[in-house]
Amino acid sequence: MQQVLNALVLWSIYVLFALGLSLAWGTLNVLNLAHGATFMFGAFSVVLLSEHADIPFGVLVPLAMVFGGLISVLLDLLVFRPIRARVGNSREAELLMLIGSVGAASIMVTIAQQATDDSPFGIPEGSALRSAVYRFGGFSISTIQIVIIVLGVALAALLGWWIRSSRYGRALRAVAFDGETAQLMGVNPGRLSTATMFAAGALAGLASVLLISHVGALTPTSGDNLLLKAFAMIILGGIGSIAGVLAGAAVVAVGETLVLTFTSGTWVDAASFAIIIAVILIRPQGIFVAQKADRV
Amino acid sequence: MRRSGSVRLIGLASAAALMSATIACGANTGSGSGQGLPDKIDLVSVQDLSGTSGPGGQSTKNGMDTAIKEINETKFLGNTQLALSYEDSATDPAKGASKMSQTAAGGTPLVFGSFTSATALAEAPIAQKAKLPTIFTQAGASGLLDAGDYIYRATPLQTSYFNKTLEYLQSKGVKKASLIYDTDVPTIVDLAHQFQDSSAKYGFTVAASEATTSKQVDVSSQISKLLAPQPDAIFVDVLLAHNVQVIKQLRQAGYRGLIVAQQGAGGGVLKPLGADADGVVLANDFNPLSADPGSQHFTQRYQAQFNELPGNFSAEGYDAVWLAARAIKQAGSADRAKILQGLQTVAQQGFDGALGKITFQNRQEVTPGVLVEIRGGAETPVKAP
Repeated sequence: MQQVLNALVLWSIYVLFALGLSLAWGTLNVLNLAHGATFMFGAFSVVLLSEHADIPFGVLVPLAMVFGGLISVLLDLLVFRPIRARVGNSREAELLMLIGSVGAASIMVTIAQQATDDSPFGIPEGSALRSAVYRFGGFSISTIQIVIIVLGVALAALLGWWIRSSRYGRALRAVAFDGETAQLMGVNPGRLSTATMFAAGALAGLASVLLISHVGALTPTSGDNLLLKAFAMIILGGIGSIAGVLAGAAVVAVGETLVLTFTSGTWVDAASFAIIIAVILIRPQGIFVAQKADRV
Repeated sequence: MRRSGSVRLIGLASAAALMSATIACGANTGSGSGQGLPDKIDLVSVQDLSGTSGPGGQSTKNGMDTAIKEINETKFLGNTQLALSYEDSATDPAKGASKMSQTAAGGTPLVFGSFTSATALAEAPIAQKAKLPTIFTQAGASGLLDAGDYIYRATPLQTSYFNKTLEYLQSKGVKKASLIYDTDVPTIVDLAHQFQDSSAKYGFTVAASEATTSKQVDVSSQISKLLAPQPDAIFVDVLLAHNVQVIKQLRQAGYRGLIVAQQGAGGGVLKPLGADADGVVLANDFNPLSADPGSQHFTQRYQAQFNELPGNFSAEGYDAVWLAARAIKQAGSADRAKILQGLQTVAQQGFDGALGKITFQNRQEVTPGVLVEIRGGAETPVKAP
């Protein structure tokens, strides 16, 4: 039972991190390798703030989301949009945006490394969540674990609804499929891009502030390892599919927990990526993408 | 004929002068101490002053500068002044190798090598080939000293003083312990093996042993398994920031028992944990509050120079420079071969330094170590059990 809970917490962390990456990749065709650095910078920003004033945890959470969102929008305005505007070929633009995001990530990581001497940073006690531990027989759960699970499930459902049923979501899917036609239909792609990038960054900021509360500290490079796993989850589930991210995260989280429960932790990364390779070989389009539509 | 003989003589004399100038390069010849030492000896430290290990390299530099100041002020080498210049290897093996090649060609009589293992491993063969006495600090890679007899390491291996932690567990009556360790750091794996292999000798069993990697952030699954046998103590044997993450999750899971850690949990790494770090015990090679006279002496001099308490990297740098100065004094010369002989003699005799009583085994420094407890963010020496 305890290991089921552990898997659920891990799944929620993976979902919160990977949803933002999937959103930008699946709808705007932005393979944002700075998502890990945005995640780290969201937590780093609120840690810096809380070192100067005791800010309640309930305020830190939305602040981290705002910081993450703003960083992501800045990336869009300063890196991705200028590339899209100057490079006509969409494939070439995607590649250049990917390279641009690598550059942006290294700038953020270097700033954090310089500011922290590459040391771990955590939320000071004055602002940290007072996390209690609840016990039921041999099973225990902490306040922060409950918060992570609730927010993971709730935001995944909300985002799924937003993409599928809201006016913005439908417009976003239209832009993803054919930007020019969507524009002729009255969709403003610039505004949509800003909103999407803000949502992606806000999710990264939320994931970071929850994770730092759960594990005590992050380092300037903490986002890198999560980024690699998030790519795997998205490819596993199918690019552009919210349900696919949830399934991909579930496969990785449950796989890792099973490996950890029955074997040594040494094998956890190897086993989870072995599962992913197997799924890719059997179903290369991902679990939740029924058919592939090519834009011409 | 006579004229041509004179020319040949002048030529030979010039060649001899050039050779001696080359040998003594890095040393300004003069009266010195009157024992064959020049007025000034220029040493070089190829050090990781930037990059990932930049902060560690900078701390080492501060300790080295403290020693240089003291050596010159106290006229330890008589009228000979010791000067130390720095070349930044930037935590980059290629850069370290290049800087070491330049330094070896420049003719300095002794060099201090870089902080990180990868950089040090690139530098050591170059120094050995140039027959250049070289002292490394940190750089715990197992193959470093295999480069040859000119290579010394002035940082003790953690395994040499880890017995202090084991003795502490025994003194606390621990009968059942759990272990979590990172598998991607060789030194940490060595400690895990030492912990498991020595447990019976110190009167406890290892009830659960869980592996992780330094990149695995959420270790909840391992923690559930660590806590299942209800251990009296847990050895958190992980790298730097991972200490914070593992200990935080142990506390989140409600564990309030004894935690011992490895040296990497010291030096303020656990600061983000706040009160959750209280009571964590670890063995280090140096603590500024230690009662050891050598440690106190260094701490006073360091504080006077930098207005802050020193850490272990600074203490190691300080002792490394003192090792070099003693070797030079023993050699009575700025010649590389004679300094090597001096190093061998000093290593045999041992000396008292910032890390306490310093001895050497096969060019590897050995020190007694000091046990510390973290409380209120500070590391306080624990009385030996």
